[in-house]
Amino acid sequence: MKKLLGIAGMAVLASAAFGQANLTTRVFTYDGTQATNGLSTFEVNNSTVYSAGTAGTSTSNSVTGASTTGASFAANTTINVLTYVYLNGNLGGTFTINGPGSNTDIERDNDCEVRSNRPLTFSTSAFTVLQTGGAAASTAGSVLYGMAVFTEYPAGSQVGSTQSGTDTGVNGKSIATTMSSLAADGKMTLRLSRTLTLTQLAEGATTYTASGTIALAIN
Amino acid sequence: MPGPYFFESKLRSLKSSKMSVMASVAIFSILGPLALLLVPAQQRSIFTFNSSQASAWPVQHYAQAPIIIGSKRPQGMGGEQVSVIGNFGGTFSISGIGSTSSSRSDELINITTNLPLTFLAANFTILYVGGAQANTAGSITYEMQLYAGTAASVGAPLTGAVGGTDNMFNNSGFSLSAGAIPANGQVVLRLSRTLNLTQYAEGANTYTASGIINLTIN
Repeated sequence: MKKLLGIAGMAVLASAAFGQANLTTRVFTYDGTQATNGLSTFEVNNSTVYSAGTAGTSTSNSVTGASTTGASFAANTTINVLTYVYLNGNLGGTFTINGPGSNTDIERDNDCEVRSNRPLTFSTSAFTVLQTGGAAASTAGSVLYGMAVFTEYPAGSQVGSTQSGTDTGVNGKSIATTMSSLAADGKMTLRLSRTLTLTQLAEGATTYTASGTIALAIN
Repeated sequence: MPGPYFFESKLRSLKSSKMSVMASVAIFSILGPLALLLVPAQQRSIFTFNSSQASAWPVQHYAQAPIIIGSKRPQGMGGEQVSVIGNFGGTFSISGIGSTSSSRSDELINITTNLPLTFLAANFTILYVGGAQANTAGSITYEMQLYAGTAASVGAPLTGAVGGTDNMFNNSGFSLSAGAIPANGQVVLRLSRTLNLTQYAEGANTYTASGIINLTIN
């Protein structure tokens, strides 16, 4: 007897648009124009002293203490760090089961690559019991979910603890990362694990499904 | 052989010439200071008074040797001319993640001078965000150097490069001696920044750093 259980409909909601830049490092753009940074002007012509500092859109150039013996020029720097969040991976899973009886599978992991320069929060919601033909089929079995975050990709050390629950019991779980959670390369791993338990009532030639959502919030 | 009349004639001619020189000196002694008072402020003297040797600032701003006496500014002679025009600020925009350093970004500031100058960095800070120290987010390595020429055409280095990271840049500097000033007085100050960001530089944040370049006219 062959039993099929499809788990589909896992969705990742992200408030940031995933661009195609696919950045793996910092990309620097330097703007040294007068419009952005202003202009310093200082002139000593015999005993006549002229000084002026104008402001740009980001920094100001000021000239202070101007005299026939010198002046001080402000050298300001502005660093605009733009938000970058990237998530790439598969949160879905498909089981194929042979044989009869009640049994539990080993843990199956889905690892997604996450790159971020912002703190993130991952939250679970809308996870369901097993369904078949549009009807609840909780007597056929259940799925134990675990959600965890690790530094680096592939996964390094774990950030926080694993948030787990069975079927709808996993809803409302969340993991928040901080900037200090980040490895030097800014990469993380989001791991969604599943452990499927089937009873003897899980019928052959039948497809069971379960769904749920992991929401990503950029803090 | 020349006769007595010849020698008498030469002697008379010599006396006449000497009188002529003495008369010239006397006239100049009387009129010289008067002429000096009539020199417009925008004109500069070279060695002695010469009204025809006017210098039009800023078109002509030559650092001519007679003006520069050792390392002292020629007090009261007029003609001290220093001009600094440029942008000392810099703005970075950063996309992406992780710990990375930028390439060196240069600011070229046009300077014209006929006087020795000293540049000294002061008050440079670590990174700040929202008024709080943010040195975990990264740092800036500064470098400063003088070249002959202009921003549009940078010439040979006139000084060695000095540099430092964040507040370690303070007290870095150099002097441009009188003898090192190019003939046309045109000098370029290069102020460079290399930004190093760690993975902790957070998106949607603006970090700032400040500092001062002090110029002393020697």
